[in-house]
Amino acid sequence: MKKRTTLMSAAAVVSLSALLAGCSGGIGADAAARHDSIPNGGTMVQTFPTTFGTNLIPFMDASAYTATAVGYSFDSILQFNRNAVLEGDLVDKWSYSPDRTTIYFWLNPKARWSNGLYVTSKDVELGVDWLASKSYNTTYQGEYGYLVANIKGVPASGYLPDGQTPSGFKILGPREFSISMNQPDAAVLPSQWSGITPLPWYVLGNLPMSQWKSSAFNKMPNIGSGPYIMKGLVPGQSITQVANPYYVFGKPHIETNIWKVVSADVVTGQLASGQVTIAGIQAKDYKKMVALPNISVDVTPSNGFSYLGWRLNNSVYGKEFSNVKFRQAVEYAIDRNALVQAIDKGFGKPENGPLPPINGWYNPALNGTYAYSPAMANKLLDEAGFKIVNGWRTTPGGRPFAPTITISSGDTQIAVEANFLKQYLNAVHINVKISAPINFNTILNELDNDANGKQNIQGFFLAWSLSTDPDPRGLWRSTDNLNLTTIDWSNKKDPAIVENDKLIHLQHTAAAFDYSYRKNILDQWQVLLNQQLPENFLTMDDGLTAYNKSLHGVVFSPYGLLHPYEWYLTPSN
Amino acid sequence: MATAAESNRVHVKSQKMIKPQSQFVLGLRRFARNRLALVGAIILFIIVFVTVFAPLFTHYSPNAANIMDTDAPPSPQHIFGTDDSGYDNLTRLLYGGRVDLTIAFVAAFMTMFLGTTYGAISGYVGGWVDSLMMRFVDVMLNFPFIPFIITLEAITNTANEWVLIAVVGFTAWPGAARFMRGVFLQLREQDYVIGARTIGARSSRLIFRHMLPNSLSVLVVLVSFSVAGFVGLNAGLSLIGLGLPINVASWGGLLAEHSNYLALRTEPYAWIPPAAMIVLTILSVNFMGDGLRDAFDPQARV
Amino acid sequence: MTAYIVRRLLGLIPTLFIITIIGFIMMHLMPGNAFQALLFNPKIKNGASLLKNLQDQNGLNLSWPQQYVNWIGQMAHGNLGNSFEYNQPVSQLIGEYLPNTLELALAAEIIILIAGIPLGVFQASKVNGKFDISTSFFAIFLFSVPGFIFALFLMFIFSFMLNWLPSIGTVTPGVSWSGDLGDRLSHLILPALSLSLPAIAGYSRLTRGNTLSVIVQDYVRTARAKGLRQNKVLFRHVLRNSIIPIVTQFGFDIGGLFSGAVLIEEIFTWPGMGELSVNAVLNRDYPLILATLMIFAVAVLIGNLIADLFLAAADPRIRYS
Repeated sequence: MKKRTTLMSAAAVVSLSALLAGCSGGIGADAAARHDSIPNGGTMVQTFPTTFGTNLIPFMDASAYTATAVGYSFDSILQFNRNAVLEGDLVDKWSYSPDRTTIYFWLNPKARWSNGLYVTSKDVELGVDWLASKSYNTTYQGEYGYLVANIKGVPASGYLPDGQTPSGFKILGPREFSISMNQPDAAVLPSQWSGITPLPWYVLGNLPMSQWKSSAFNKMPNIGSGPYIMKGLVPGQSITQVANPYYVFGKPHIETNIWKVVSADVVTGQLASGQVTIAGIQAKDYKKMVALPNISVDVTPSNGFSYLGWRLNNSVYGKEFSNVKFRQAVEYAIDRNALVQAIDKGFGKPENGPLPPINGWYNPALNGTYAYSPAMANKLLDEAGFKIVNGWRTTPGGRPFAPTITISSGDTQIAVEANFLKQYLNAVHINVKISAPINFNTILNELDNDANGKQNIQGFFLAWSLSTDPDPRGLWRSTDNLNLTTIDWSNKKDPAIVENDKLIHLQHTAAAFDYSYRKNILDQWQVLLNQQLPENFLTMDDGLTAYNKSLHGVVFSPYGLLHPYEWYLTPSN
Repeated sequence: MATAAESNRVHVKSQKMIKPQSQFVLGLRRFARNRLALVGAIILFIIVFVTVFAPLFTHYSPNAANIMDTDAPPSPQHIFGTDDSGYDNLTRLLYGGRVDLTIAFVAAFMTMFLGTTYGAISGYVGGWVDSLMMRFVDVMLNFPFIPFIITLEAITNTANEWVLIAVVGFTAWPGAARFMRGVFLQLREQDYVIGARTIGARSSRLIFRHMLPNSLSVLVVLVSFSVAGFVGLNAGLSLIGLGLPINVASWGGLLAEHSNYLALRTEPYAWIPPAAMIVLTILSVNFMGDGLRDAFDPQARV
Repeated sequence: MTAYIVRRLLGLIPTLFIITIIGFIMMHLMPGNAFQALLFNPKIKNGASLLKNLQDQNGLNLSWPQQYVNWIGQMAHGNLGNSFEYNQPVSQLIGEYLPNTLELALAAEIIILIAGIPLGVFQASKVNGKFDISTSFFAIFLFSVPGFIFALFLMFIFSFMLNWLPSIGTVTPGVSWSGDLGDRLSHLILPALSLSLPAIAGYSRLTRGNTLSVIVQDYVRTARAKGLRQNKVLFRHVLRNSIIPIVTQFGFDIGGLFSGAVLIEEIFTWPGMGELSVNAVLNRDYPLILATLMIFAVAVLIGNLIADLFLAAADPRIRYS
């Protein structure tokens, strides 16, 4: 993956196990014959750019890489296919109650743990209890607690005492269960409940959750419900997984899957020599990788974008940042097409709103807005009162205006792009400085703890990696924690924000079960954000994945690499 | 006979006109005769010349990122191609030398200055003061160089070369202090020092007038080896991501930018020049240092 | 001898003390008390009193000497704090990563001694001959190239172009022979070579110098006069007497070896203390940064101690000084 550091938003998180798409329904005779003729066996190697955490119980570890590997071992109840349509995974049928407040689920009869035991409702209940538990949300990292926050019976705090099940979760049979919500909500299934992951009750059911972190199962889960089960782990170096013979969609073709920690400098070399089977590469390496005889490169738009954020409540320049003309001027001042050419080598698109172009709900009316125009930028800045003194703009009050943009370390492309941003802003006389790269988690920490705007961060250059469903809750409402801690677009006196909240509310009400209604609301919302620019949307960068020609069956989608159990290797000569 | 007498007179005259040559000049002459050292000096001079007079050799600015022309291979306009940000590689090579050389020389001088002062005082005073001061130096020497540097970088958030120089100077002075203290201990026992003290010369006069000049030769050699050590330092730090920000051109940054597999294989024009510059500089300084050491202290040559 | 050892060990205590003081000062220089951040977190009600409680609980409101004593007590119990980045106890991380660095350092040491010493001895035995001059020149060249440039070259040639040797990690994952001696060795060669090459030059020159000064001694002349073959002279008499200073010099140079290991480990993704400390610095993971620095310092201390003891065993004059 392009090593753009990503910010995982609360609701907008990539629910990783929900990415694994599958064949819906049964396998026909044709497909079965095809399935049998595909060669089995072999080992594939995938990569992480840096080291991973070693907590292997689902949702326990904060590292996104660990989550990816764990996602291969533990499936969630539903998943998305390549067109972002919700499909069955461990659950194969579901239906809404007439009043739309309850959803009934039936587990796939083929859903089994890797030792042959069937997955039951009790396992799902344990998964729900885990996410709703006090231990998870307070002692452990708690990031995915939001997945169950809307279940009836979960209090406002977001958690219950360990082991207590929310009243909205009911077991109806060994393979049937239902989940209820307080209000009909069109988005809660795709954006939250689909990510619920069953946990093996017979292993963890009797162990107090406060002890899960130190348990043997956390260090090496020896069973799982996903296509590949954990087999071995070398700290800081690799995770080894083997095919699950009882996987719900059939045993994967490739026998062994290895995750290796490979730094960005050498991953291309490892791909070329065949030691790594598939890995993301940078845009500037495309031409050279494609020229290698044993490598293919796939280019797929990604479901995310980069942006320039401003702390609207910053104690030093918050007032200036809050002026919408400032943000609009910045958008005009940056030539986003040139950025796509220079950084992405053309593999990307300018980003105009909160949803990337690939998203099915994207509003095409946003295309072409804010075309590069330093003249417009200068005009807007002049109108807003940022006078030019000695070549640099001052605040409308006359103070020198020299905001700092914080960037994250870990990828040299970030510093390169930030350098270009600085040049564009300098060209319209904004005296912007770029900070030394700071670790991504440190940036998040500072942002998380900046309710009074006194932290150092003023502007910041980051990226979102979004979830499949466009539900803006969790990120864009004025009350959402992520909004408060990222940009703080929460000034209730601003009519734009009131409108924002109203539209977000409408898009998940009962009426939103109607597709065209929801689309209309979301279109209006995107236009609003395009005009208001609470953050400056920059570019959507395509994901480039290089893989060995012996690897087949990979489904590339904006939501990740799908169907790992269908991938197979032809013997290389 | 008359001719003989004349020649005698001439001989006497020319004898009177020969001045005794100082240690220093003698040393310089010996240095000049060492071919390797001379070559080193010439190469170093060339390198410093092109970096200082970089504007003469290239009309591009090292700070103007050119978004339209990134990652270009060599062409008549860009002899060494361009990098990620559209900077011309040759320009960055020449201007970058300024940064690396500045870091190396200034840090070396700073280290020597701090170390010599500390070591001189310790070595001269002797006794329990010396033991105590050296104890502290020993403790500081227990912290390995690079881990200490990167720890200080974590604290200070290095954003420019002066912070880096300060950090390096702060970490490297104990080594110099220990060495110079040994030198001063030795010098203290020399006859002329004892003699000067007997006739009542003040300590400061002793240190500055007598001992320091005599330790100069050792100092010069030490400085040259330090410089050699520090030239590669920025490169090493950039390689692990703890060097200078990318808009500051430096050899280390250039090398680090192109140390991935594809760049190593397919863009030799991008990484060979900075690597060569680093190695050449270190080599020439090392040769000079070797030569200086042989020149000023012929007995040290084994 | 025992008296010397005891004296030396006792002398370690003040050094250790000052090392911990320096570590403690650095820890407090590091920005960001983890608890202060809580003050600004809107989810926490009544942050001020919570802050005070937490600080009391963790002893942050005590006087600095008291905090220092607590901290030392914790360290003595093996509790080095928790890493922000890995979310694991620091001591556990160090337990996982330190052996790899020791393995690398040991391998490099062996290469340096095996290659450098005989080279120096042969250079000295034919002093100023063709062998001596050519290899000396080569030695200065080796000495001038920074270790990491070697690393890049070696990786480029042996791993990328020839594909003979791996360039990442300590073992090959997922295969049945993972972790075998051969597997580990093949991963170890390139990093160990990169670490040792620049030092070989230095050591060979040192050996050359020492050997030369021994060779001119009288007892060597006597041995030769007795009719002993050159090789026997070299290895039985000369080497034995010149080797001790070199091996002890090595103990003192452990710090340099660890220093170099930091860069080499990063380049080869070798999961050792070097990589741990670099990642810690990049992530501003302060407990980990501090712990790695202290471990390095203690390792150097131990190295010096061993070297000193070695020297004392060999040279009686030192024991009584």
